[in-house]
Amino acid sequence: MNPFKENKVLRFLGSVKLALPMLLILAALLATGTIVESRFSTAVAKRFVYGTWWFGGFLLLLAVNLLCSAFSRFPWKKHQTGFVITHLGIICILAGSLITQQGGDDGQIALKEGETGHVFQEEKPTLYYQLNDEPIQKIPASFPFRPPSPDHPLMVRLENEGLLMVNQFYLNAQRTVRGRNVEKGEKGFPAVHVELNSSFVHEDQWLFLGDADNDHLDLGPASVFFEKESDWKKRLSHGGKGIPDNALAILLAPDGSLKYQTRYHGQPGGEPQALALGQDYPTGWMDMQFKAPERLSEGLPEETFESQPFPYQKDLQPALHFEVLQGTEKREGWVGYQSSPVSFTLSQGQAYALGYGPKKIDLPFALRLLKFKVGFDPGTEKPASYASDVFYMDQASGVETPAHISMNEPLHFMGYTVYQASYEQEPDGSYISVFSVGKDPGIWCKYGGAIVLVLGIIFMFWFKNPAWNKRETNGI
Amino acid sequence: MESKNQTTIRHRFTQMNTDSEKIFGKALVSVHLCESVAKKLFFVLMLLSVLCGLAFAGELDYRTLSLIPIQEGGRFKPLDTFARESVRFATGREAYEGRNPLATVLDWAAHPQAWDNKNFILVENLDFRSLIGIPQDQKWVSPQLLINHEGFIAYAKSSYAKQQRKITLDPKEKESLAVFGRLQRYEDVKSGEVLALVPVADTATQKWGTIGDLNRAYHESKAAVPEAALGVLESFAGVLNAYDKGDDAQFQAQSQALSQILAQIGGKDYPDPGKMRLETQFNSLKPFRWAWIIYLVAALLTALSFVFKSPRAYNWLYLPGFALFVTGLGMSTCGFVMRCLIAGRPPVSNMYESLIWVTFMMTVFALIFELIFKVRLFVLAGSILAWVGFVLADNIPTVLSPSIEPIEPVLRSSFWLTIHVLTITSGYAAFLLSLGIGHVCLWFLWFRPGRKETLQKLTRILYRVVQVGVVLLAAGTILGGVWANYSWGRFWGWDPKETWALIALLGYVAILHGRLAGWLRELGFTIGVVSAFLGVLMAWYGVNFILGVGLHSYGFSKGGLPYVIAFVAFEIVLLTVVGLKAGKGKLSAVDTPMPEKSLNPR
Repeated sequence: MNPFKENKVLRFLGSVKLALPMLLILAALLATGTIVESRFSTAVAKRFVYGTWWFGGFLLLLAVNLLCSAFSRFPWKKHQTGFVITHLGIICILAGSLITQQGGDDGQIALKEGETGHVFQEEKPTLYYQLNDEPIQKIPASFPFRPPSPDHPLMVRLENEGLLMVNQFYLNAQRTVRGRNVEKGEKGFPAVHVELNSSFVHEDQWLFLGDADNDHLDLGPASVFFEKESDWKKRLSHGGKGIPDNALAILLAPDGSLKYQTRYHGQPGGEPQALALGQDYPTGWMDMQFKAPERLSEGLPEETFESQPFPYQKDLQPALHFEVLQGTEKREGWVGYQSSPVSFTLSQGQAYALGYGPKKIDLPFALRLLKFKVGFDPGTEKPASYASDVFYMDQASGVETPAHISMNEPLHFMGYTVYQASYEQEPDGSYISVFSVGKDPGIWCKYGGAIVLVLGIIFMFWFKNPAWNKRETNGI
Repeated sequence: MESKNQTTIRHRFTQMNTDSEKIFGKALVSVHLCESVAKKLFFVLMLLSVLCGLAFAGELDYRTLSLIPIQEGGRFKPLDTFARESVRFATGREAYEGRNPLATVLDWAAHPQAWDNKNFILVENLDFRSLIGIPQDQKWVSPQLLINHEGFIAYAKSSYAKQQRKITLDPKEKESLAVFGRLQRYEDVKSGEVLALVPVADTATQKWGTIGDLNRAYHESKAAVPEAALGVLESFAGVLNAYDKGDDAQFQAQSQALSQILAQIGGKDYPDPGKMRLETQFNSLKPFRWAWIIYLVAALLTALSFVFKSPRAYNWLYLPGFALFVTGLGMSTCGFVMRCLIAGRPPVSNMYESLIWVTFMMTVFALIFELIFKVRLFVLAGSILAWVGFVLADNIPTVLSPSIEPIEPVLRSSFWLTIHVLTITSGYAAFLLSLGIGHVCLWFLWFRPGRKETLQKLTRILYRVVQVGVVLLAAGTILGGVWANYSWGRFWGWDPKETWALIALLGYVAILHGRLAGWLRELGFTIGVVSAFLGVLMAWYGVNFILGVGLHSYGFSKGGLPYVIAFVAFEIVLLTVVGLKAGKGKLSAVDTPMPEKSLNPR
């Protein structure tokens, strides 16, 4: 009595009637995935095809199909050996993949020469938060099933009875910086909103005088500066170092009014002129015009994010909107993936910090990069090989061991494998070596399944099917 | 006149932006060199060329010169290869105007002013021809036209900037960069800037000295140039001089002198002359060209043996055809072995190499199957496909570059890589053969639908060929996982190349299941096999040439898409026509006992 043979449902689950359409549907799904990857990016394809629950479910159904079909022939006859082990081999590979997905890690660690590291990053968006001096907490925040929205926010109750909510999530967002007025107790910068328009370029940006991150705008062929009039004049009289040939300077006059001066091919376009808000002025570069629609005497940059269509061949830039409730107080804002963390203090001296970035995983050992070497093809700048000399240190015993990691020669230690992935060169000529670090508990299951599968196929094809009793070798 | 000429060139190039300096900066150097070269080395030659006019040099013996090693593109190659590649690169054909490529390259250096005004720089894209204002039927333009063409320079510059910003270029923009590259190659050869003949390696870059470097040093301070280097310059000038006069005896003597002095400087690290000789032999033998000629004749003879069905036709047409097929196989094997010896690695790095490998393996499979089944059809299908494969490999160098280039770091010294690629492409080869046999089946289905017995046998044979492909593709894909795990740290990552290999495999597996379940008979199975090859085509060509994303980027390229689309369209029409025609009288043709018993659980 074999239920796989007798039970109607199990028989259907193990039938070719199910298998064949599934094979074709799988092929079509995968083809779509590669086209999505080509049209958009690897991240988009992972997010919307390969990493989805329905894709995983489909593979699971395939495994069920294989299993039922193999067991429906139980007890197995000798000539079915190939058939059975082929199908079980595929199940093994799928099981191995599941183990890897659940228990494996796959990330990257970048080290400068001389640097030691033991934390690697995995591309799994994670929200970090910290209350006062408590340990940093993490929550997975890639939201593959249902992104949080104002109606269905993600809520975390904090230890001080406060509430952290994520109520908006953009999978791909454009970061913009706006000026806002300072609040009580904050120190701001003089701020001006600048718009530049020509037939090619439309730029819209806030500049903050004295804030190194936001005090100028580089358009490539030209730059816009916001400076005190006296500082600008001083810079010009010292030869104008660091000022490109084409520039626009918005100047804060000592009396608090705004002026502007343009510069074209290294020559000033006249003396500084008074600047009226909201009025268009020519820059002198091609047909470009500029205006300053608004200004703040004391403002601070505020990041906001807008949802963007998927990027073309680039990584996704997710962003999330949070709200923190503490008693009657509320604080809300945006935090972007890998942009700077947000911190603030509410009443009773409760300090909050929030960050959004890749998942950070601690290695059980530390890695120190001693020396990075690149070899080139003779007479070219094409790298032929690259390798890192490292020390790895068991953190329990503190013993340091030297190792050489190169392409195709990874380091295996404490269940982890460290591969030479790539490298970057700093402007000063020193190297940053990038390793990929992984732990793959399912690999032996996958390898075993793979060997069984291939042997099974060979077996199946080598031993002729007994139903084919006609000789095949007759001439035509 | 010449110096004025050079000044305008420099003027053009110096107007370039700094951000494009990496590619365009070289032009500056080379143009700068043009001046020093013109002043020193070519001054004599100028006089000579005035004296001799621009008469073509007589037939010279280039053998000694062709063997001299040059460092270029990350390896050492004989001048012969360098000249062939340079001329093919700049003009699109190796024997430009039917001349020995080495003679063409020497002529570039000897008569730059004539070549500057000659239309010989290839412009492929028709729209780009209109863009730079030449007639659409004009295939070549002169360096002068390009250098003085402000629009062209600006366009190439902006295309380059776009490429740097990773913006996808349109065909015209790609062509502008390609044309610039061709112009650059000519300028660099002319000035001696790429002629890295002097085996004195810079310790940091391992870069050999070039004739351009020597000229510059000579120009700056004659006294500081070592004697050996002076000897190189003298004999190089001597070679050009003798070339110009067409004096073979002197040309031989000077080539010999140059070769000797360079070998002397190189000492024990100088590349092995035997290897250089092997490469020049490979270049002039052209084994893959011979292979397609032989396969063409084999295909014709075998086809005729089917037309005339007598035993005499077998003896006088098929047997010679078979012999030629084996000869073709021998020829391509020889080419293969030589290429591997020259490159020092197996042919796994680009589309050209995979095409010749797949074609070669296909003929190996065809021979084995022919020896097993003895149906003559494997010789027919095999030789036709081999002819197509080797013709493609031999004739479109701009898409399938036959140059031997160093391999990417990740592909180096990896046993798994070699095994993985060779297994997977052998799978493609078996599927290519199944495509050929599939077309034979289609022919029978269309024109001889009554011969059921034959069709059944053919389908069983086809099934066997597909099985071989499935084993190899499955094993190769899994080996790819093993290699990826070994080298990138993950077994499977849905990279487009591995995904498409899987899709192709799934297609064939689906057909095998359909066949075993008894749903696909002769017609269905044949149509299935031929259409499943489109999956292979996508995995093989499409991922690299159409999708162009993923980790297998070392094989990415462009070109040939219209032909591939035409092929796919042709197959679809053919399958529809045969399907409709054979489908009509179908029910009589399929009442074959099918081997579904083993699949039925009861």
